[in-house]
Amino acid sequence: MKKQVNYEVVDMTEEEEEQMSKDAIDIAERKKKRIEFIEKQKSDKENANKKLKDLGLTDDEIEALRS
Amino acid sequence: MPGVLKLEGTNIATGDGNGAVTINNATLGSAVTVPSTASACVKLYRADISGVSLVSIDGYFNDSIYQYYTLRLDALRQDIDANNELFFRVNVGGSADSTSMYWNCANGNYNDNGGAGSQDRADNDGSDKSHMDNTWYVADAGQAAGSGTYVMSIAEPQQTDRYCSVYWVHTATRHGSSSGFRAIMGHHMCTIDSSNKVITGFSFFTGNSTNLSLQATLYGFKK
Repeated sequence: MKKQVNYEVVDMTEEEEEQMSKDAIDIAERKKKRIEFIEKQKSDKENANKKLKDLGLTDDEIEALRS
Repeated sequence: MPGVLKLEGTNIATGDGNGAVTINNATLGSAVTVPSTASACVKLYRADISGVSLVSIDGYFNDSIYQYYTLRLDALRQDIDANNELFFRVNVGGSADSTSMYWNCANGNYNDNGGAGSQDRADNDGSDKSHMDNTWYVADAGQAAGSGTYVMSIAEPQQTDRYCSVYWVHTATRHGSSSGFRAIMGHHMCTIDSSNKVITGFSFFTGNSTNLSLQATLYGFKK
């Protein structure tokens, strides 16, 4: 892999390439966790809405509770 | 390019195209030459970059002269079609520092097929690198005209009494090669817990080592 330091293009050191591989794994794991968190938030919201509707609340009343 | 500044048809200043400006002062009856070095803003670095996985801009900071710096990354794209974010690390002693010392927060807005969206982000708590946008992918080769711009304000990177604060604005004309997200912007900051370190530069890279193309420019603003 190549890197540019100021005006010079050079090969990365072995250590830098290892760091890049480590970064790729770390970033992919964090991305997966972030997406899982967002999906859980969406699903929690849908479940909460359904439970409120089952209790007899209208959409407007649910919206009023949120604001 | 040389140029002339006129007031009501009269030449009042000329530029030689290399930064020097000569002002003709009618009252004094003499010309004053202002050298480019007298400017409060000095261009320290400029390069067109492509075909590399990591970009390091290093060795240009001098806090005894400059109060703060503006680092622009323009026309930033990935050379291949890939879904990756952009990250940075500060350089200490010329090398990227991967100590767990990066704390981020950000918010922004985007256009999603005509709908307005907003996004907050603050998930880097003592990370070993700083992300540079709100989970957006760097525009890539799948969308020929898309690109991103980052305008960073860096204050006193060489001081060792306080944590370093970096603020930047990110705009992008595409999310990866998506046709849905065509206007993206966010403002961001990173606290770098580096109170005992002299920051010498910045290193930029994507999440999967993809090659990048960009124009990088660093300006210093004098005290």
